[in-house]
Amino acid sequence: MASSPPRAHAQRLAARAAALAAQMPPYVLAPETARGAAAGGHAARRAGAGEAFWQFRPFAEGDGAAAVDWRRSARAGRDGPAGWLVRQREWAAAATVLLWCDPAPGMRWSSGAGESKADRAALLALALAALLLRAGERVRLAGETKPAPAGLSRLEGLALALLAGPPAPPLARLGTVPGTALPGGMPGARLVLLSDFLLPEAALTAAFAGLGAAGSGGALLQILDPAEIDLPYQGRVRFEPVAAGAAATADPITLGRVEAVRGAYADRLAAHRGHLFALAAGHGLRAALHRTDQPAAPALLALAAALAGRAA
Amino acid sequence: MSGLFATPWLLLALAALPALWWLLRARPPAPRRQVFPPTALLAGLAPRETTPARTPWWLLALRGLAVLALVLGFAGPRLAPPQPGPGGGALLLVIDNGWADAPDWPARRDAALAELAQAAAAHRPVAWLATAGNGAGTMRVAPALPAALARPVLAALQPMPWSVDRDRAAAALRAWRRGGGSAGQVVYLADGLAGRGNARAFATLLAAIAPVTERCCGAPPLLLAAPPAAGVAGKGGAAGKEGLAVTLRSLPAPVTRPIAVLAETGDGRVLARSVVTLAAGAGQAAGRIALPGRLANRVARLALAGPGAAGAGGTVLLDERWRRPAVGLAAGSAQPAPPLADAGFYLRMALAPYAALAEAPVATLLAQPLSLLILPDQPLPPGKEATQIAAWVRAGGVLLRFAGPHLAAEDLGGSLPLAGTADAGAPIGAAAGRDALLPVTLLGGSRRLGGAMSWRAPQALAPFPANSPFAGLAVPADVTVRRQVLADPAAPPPIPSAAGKPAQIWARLADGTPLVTAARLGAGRIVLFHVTANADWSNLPLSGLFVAMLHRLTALAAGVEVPAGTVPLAPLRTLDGFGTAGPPPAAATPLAAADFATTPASFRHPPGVYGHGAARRTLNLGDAAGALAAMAAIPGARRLGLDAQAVPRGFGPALIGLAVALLIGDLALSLGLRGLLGPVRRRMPVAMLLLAASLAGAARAQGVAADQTPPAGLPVVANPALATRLAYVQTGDAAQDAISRAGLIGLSEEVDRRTAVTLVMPDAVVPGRSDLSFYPLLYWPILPGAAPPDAAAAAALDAFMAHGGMLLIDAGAGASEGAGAGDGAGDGAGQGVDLRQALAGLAIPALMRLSTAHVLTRTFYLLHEFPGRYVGEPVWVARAAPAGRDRTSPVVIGANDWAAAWAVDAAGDHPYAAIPGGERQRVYAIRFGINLVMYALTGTYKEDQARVPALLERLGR
Repeated sequence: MASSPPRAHAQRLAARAAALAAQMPPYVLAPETARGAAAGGHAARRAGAGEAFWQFRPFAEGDGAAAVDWRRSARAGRDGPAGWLVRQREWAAAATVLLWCDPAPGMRWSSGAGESKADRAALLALALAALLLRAGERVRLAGETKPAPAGLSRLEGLALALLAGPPAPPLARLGTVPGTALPGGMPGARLVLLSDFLLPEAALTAAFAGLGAAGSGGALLQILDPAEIDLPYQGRVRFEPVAAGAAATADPITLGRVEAVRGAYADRLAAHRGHLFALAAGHGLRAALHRTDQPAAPALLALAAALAGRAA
Repeated sequence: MSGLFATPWLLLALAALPALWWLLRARPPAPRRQVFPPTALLAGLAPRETTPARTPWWLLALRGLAVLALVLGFAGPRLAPPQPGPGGGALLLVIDNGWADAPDWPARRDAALAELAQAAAAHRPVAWLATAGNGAGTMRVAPALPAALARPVLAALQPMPWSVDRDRAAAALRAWRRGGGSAGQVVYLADGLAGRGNARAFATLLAAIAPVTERCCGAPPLLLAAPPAAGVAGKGGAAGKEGLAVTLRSLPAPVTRPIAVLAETGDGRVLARSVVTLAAGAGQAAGRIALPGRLANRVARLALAGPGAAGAGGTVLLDERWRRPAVGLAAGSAQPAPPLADAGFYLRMALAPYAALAEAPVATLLAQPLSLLILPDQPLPPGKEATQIAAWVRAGGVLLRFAGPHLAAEDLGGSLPLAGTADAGAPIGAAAGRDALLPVTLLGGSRRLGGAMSWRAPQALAPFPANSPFAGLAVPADVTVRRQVLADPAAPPPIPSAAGKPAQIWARLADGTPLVTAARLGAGRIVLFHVTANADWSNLPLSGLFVAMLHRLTALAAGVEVPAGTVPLAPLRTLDGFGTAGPPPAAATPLAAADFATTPASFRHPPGVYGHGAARRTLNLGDAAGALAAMAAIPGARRLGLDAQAVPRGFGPALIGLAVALLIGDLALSLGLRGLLGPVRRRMPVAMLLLAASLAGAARAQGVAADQTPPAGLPVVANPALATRLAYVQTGDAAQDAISRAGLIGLSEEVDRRTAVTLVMPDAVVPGRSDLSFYPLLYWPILPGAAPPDAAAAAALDAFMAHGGMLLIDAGAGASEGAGAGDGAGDGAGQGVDLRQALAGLAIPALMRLSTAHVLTRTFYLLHEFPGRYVGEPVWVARAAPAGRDRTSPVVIGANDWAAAWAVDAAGDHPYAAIPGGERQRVYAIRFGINLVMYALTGTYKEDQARVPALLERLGR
């Protein structure tokens, strides 16, 4: 029963995500964009692996005995292998979407104005997953290694993996994880990146370079706390990075009057975001910004639209 | 410097101020720490404004001020440094400690101790003089001592129950000066009265010693004078009226002063309360305590009401002189006589001023304490009645008989009466034997003097013989006797025990025939008037002499002879300055009985009771005192009030409070500087200010909160309209109010537990001020000596009863403190008076005793008794409840102290024992209470006929 609390937590989060997704219109990835997609639920109007009957065709060399519809062939009354009919099923396609939520400790920080960025990212990821699953697509989590335990729906399994599973790889190593590189093991998989992307610009550039060339598209959502955007502090403040010590990403900075640097900070943040969005566009990812003090639904809609290739 | 600060060395801490200044300037306020993920983005952002590396000047000033206030506060600055008196030297403290100082003695003692503290601060020795001396009668100036040594002696100084003696005080001062005493300053704690002796000389002498500061006076002292004694003839203030006339003396004051006087019994119970109003500018006022004669006899002490008001000056002790002898008038004849022909009429008129007169058949009269029995013209044939009377006389009673037609006829022994002596139809008891209870043997018939058939003129009275109790009374010439019965000088007296002793003749006619004869029988006397008690045989009953003679006789019959003459009476119990009786001090000496009226109270003769056994007299302060005179002004004296605070008052605490407030403000400002206040930063300083302001009141608020913590689990509903609850009338006596409250809480809990009624926490109400319309049942404890409700309260209570409320009046409340003193009958009498006074203004319906037939005994439990903390007092309800209130009684009156029986304390225990029945009695008390509540709430529905059979069945009939 040790796993019970995370499991219950996961189920609650999944329920929230499902409720959020239920507000969304039905979502279907356009078939034409589903090139190289894995076998899935979208009828592609051509023969292939699938459940539904598509057509009979004459036996050809190389068809296996199991493929022959013996009863139908017998009714047709023709002889020989040429008279046999092979039952073909309609090819059903499914897109694969790879979700990545940033595991960085900075994501768990909150100024108190809303939930933490990590929580919001998980909620959005799961809601998007709910949408995709409802539409019959395949959803994977970056870093997901083992199947969900029995008794949970797929969404709940995803939630559990997100909350209690092994942490996702950081952005810099996302491209090196087997099966997650964009052009790599999963051709046609679309990538959804949820993070605050508060890395120095050089680090960002390097990380995106590791992702490889432009893939089949995807979406990038920069989730920021309102305090990180507005810098609402006043007076004399000593700012410290989230991870202290050796893991620190920056040195502590003491500002005498924070309100004096607010404008400069906003400029700098905008420049950083411009760089990030340019990198995303270079990899075929549609980018958007989300504040944690705003409702999650518009962000979800934007993500879905970005995945569907439409304008949000 | 030592005058300005209590602990000046603490000011050294001020040297630390510059260090603090430097420290604060060197160290800027610590920055707020903020975890911020995009810290890296902030790197290199150059602020356009410079960082305040130093603490702002105003914060620095604030902190410096706070520390300054703190240091100064702890150093104990004082507003008024003690000023050494001119010339230095010792302080001479002259303290009036007479009777007039007792009421506000604590204030006087505090003032004296304050002067002492001041002298101690100035390192001056203190000499002192108490102008009424000490209990041993010595009066001298205590030699100068350091104030610390004088303090315990002064703290133990007590007021004396006599006047200050200016002459002796002046003598003591002169002796002191002769002995080399001198002072730099004189402080005189005065009571404002001249006292005994030459006040002016005393004032001049005081002023000659040193500059005088006179601290004077509290409320003008009140001196209660004893009422004219019942035994003193001629002081006719009391004649014709019942009660005790009191006189109150004081110094004139510019306001009208109503003063309550209590009449108390020997065991301290209050029988009556009367208000004497001292008009503005008047030095004397008279009042009357209305009491029926029998109750007036029980009064042993008159005292001013009010905390500390009594003292020795406000206390008067009454002795036998104020007792009215109990006189019984035998109501023998059944036929009603016309008023002016009735013997009883003249006797009543003559005796009313001096005696407590009761009229009843002989047997009834003898059943109660009686000192004089009067039989007007009533033969006493041997028989049960005669035996009874004889036994009573032997035990010390005085039998007073009057002659008349019946007596004259009786002694004829059956022969015909002489012409015109007796009424034709008079009953003649001749056959039964001779009347033995006469001082002389009567000749048959009566002697007629004057008139148409007689040669002799009506006889006047001879002067009274010296051995007569009437000796000294003037004999008016116009008193004549027309008829009389005659004694047989030859026959032996009929009284067996007095055989051989001739009867005393107390009054004679001018011709020598006896008019009043008397004889001893055992310890008592038999007195015979040879005339009638009405005007038929003589005009003696019409004269003032008759009144005087009867008065002498009642004094004789008082049973206790007030000692007179030069017999020295030793002090038995004397009052102290506060009016409390105790053993006499060693200096008290016996006093001759004759000197009581003229001897002022002094250390030799403190006020109190003198004598021994039954022969007692009281000496009162007001006996020999005339009008009170004000003290002569002391030349050049500085006058201060008693409570004028001369002690330097430190304002250190205020400074420390200021420092704390400043530091709290500094905290708020520092937090604000560091941005820690966050979204509430606008409200925070206000909250801090409120916090600082509430610091002072915190302790008090805590006390109040502790007081109001309900001791029980009853729900508290503030609005009385929202929940049913009981209520009690506040008496103003904190102890009784606590009992009432605890009692109603206990009852409410039991009602909640046992019935469907839900009562919440009871309320305290003040009729006339509180709205009574919310309460079904009002508990009203009547305390002994309680003032009756005023008009507004009476109107409110009347309206309460008229509109359906029920009043539970408990006259037994407050008896808990009385420790059950006194006999049952006395209790009843005292409480009856209290109750009657308290209910005087109320519309109480006709009452009947609560019996088991009443529905109140059946409303919830079937009850046969109605105990409270005590048992046995009857419970009264309305005889015929007015229609329109469901025939319920608007009032239930008893004296069983129910609230004490119901009371529970915070621990749920019953703090008052139920006497004598213990817990079982308490169970019945609670049942009675529940029945009361149900009766008040449900009315008489239990009386419905439909339920009678069931009730009868349960009763087992």
